[in-house]
Amino acid sequence: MEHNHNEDPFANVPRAEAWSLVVGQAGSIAVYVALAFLVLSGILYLISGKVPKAEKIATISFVIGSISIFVPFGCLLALFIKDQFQYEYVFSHGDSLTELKYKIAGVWTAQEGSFLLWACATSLFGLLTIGGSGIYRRTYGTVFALILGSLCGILAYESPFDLLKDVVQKGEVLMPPRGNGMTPSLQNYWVVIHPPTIFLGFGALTIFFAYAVAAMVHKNAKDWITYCRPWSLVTLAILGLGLSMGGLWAYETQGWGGFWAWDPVENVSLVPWLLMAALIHGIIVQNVRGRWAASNLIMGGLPFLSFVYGTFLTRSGLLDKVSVHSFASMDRNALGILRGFLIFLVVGFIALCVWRAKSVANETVKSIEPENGINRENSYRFGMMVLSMLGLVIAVGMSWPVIAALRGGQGARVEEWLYHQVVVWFFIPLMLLMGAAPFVSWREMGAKALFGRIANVLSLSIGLTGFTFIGLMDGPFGVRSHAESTVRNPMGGTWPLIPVLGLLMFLCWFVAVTGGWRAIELAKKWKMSVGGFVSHLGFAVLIGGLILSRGMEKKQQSFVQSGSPASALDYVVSFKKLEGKDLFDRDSKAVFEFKDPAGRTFDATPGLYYYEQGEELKTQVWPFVKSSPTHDVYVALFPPVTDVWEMPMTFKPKEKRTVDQITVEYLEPTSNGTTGVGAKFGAKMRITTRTGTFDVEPQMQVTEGGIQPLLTPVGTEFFAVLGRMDAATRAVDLKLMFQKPLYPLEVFYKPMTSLVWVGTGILTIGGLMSAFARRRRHSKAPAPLSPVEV
Amino acid sequence: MSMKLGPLISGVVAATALSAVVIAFTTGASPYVTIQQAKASTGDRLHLAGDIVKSTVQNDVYTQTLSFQVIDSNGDRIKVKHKGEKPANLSEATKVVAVGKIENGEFQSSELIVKCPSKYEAEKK
Repeated sequence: MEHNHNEDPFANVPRAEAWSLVVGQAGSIAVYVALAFLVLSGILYLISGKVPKAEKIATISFVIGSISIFVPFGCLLALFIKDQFQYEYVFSHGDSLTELKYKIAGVWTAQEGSFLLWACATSLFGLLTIGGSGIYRRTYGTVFALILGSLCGILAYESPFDLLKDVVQKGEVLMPPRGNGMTPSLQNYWVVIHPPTIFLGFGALTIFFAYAVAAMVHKNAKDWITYCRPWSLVTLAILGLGLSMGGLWAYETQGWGGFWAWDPVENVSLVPWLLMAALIHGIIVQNVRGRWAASNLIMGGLPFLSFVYGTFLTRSGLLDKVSVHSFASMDRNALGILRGFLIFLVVGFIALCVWRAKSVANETVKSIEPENGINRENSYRFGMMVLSMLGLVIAVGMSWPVIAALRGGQGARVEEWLYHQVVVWFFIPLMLLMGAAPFVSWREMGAKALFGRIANVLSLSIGLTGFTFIGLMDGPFGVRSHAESTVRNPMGGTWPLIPVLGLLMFLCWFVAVTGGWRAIELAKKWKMSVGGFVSHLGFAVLIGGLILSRGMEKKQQSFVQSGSPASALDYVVSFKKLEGKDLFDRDSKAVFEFKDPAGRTFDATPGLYYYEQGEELKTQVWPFVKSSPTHDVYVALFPPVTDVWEMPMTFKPKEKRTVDQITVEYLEPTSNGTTGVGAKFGAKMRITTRTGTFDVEPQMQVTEGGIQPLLTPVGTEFFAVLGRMDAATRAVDLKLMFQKPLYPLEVFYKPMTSLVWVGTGILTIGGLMSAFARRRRHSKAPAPLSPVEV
Repeated sequence: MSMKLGPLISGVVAATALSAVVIAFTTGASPYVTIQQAKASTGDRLHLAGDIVKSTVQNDVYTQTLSFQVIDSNGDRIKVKHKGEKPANLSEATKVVAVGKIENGEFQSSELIVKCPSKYEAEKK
């Protein structure tokens, strides 16, 4: 932030209370305390192989260190809630006037806070899992402590507890009465719930990395699978929920009418989800058949490593040109730690895998001979491959700006259409496998037998796809209205949209029907694996919603002025009024009437308010969504246009000029003769617009508060406003304003968005169901190594 | 023998798919271009990054067409024309990425990505 240094801006500012300085100090110190205990714990765990007594102390310091990470979080929270704006981070992201929930969310709205959130989530899972890490504890603890310690190291440099630059005056700490406040575009309930959810998922990824490393070090590739199975299901469910929340957040607030934009920050969270889904299926195979132990060791580390890589990529500034999430440049030391951390983890993990994965797996896991032909294991192999490849492809896509730049030039960016074009080739086999594999048995089965089992599901899916399109046939966004729509194909040409959507919808139905079918079958038998199939169903519903709402979307842009209705899609849109206490009221709405061809109307009320940032007046707009089960009408409002010209234009006396199709002739300067307060200066002008030629005399008046311009109507369309008059040359700055502001709107039809919400719900419930079913029961014997149906 | 067949097929499929993806990204990714490169290119999703020349910003009120000059990193200038709603924070923006194509020596933009340093977070001192 820029501050005015000419005068003492803090002359009348109160002093910060002593407690607040203690809290800030405590937060800073706690990071170092945590770091010290975690390093100690790591070392003690490491030597506890030789000195068994050390393990107990190591665990104690692990717990102390992990708990200490919550102290800075609590301190920062307290500083936000109590408006302690002497701290730069609180000043930049907090505001005394915002609601409590945004004060709380202030903690994680920026870089330092999101690292803190990551560290807290990680330490939470560290605390939850260290006790159950059994035979692996020594290495599991070392790895976990190392990772948490590195996060503390980053936090030590990326500290949210730095005081504002100028608040320390003559040995006293001043307290600015107000902060800048959270960026208004973030102020929405999602900012309160989405970041904690998704970071909880990111934090949990550490578990699988640490276990995979420990399994290789301890030469036991068997038990870690049992240990982390329930956590893997919880993690996948939380990550999936967090991802969906992010999409819904973007949809409800960003105004571009979609859920997913393939932004690097979105991709960074999608890749670990895909890899976790792959890992979970690998765990199933190892559990049932004792196979794939080596590949599971490798897969265990990948979700975490992909997240660290993505974090580095997005925070390093390498993608600045591409991402809408422009993060502040990171502290150089902190970035150095992150880079070193990433390189060390990746190189170390690869080396360990090359050295140990295969041999440990062969030595410790008894595998059942593989079946031939079509069987569940092979289906899972291809499924895992497709999921991992999809993760890899997206990781390459998000890194493409960097990869392309390395090849020379300024780089290049993979856009939405290209992602879709590439991803679909992985999506099709993935969905076919999800539809068919649940009916494939572990024992070899013939193609005929498989077809016999899925014939019903296939024909049902085809029928339902047909019904879907018949249901969506007519109407303003229906199949008929898309007769001409096309999508790009890989050969550089286009394909008609509807057949492509038809194939994709069939795939979604196939997975949904199979998921539902198997879930019901297993529920009748009270089997534990119901949750997995419920998740498949939820996934299909969610993806179906995303595909239909984007694929069959219709949009049109329009400009509406009070008294001049305009058309958008099928509607005639007229501006009704502004609603709210005043223009600064955060609940202010612009009310538009939408009238369809049948004469039915509804009011759309997108949010619109103004706020000051420094000297400038800024506009915040929120889209309006009218939801129904079949479609949303999505109304994105953009900041109203009041200025006709981008900036004031300067005219000299006698000058005649046409700017943006409006001709202005400056006839002569005028003045009312007096000087000082009450003096008026004006400019006689002849202004020709689309509606006619007008002789006007815009003026400015000297008042006690300074020079005030007077609004002078030009016909019924514009106001002329004088900005400045040069005393010597009598040149004036002229500004033209609309008498009635112009409201730019973008109106969308988004079919079947309801499925996105429903799908998210089913996916999450299914995930939590399976996690609950697979929770560790300490009394039970390990899972049998025999081919059983799941 | 059959035991090794699965992994073998997997490997071949994976390698083929990955090469196809790299080719797709190489040919399909939208390049960031200089003005010189843009003029030599026929792409329709060129990403032209540069500084806005503030004094040249014009806004046609009747057609809602925005035009301004952009100076790229080589110091070249070109006129950018953009039809449609203009980015909310154009007035405070200094840098812009215009997405579009060259037409009649002008850059026809279909999308403007405005970079404001203060949008999400203040610059670090």
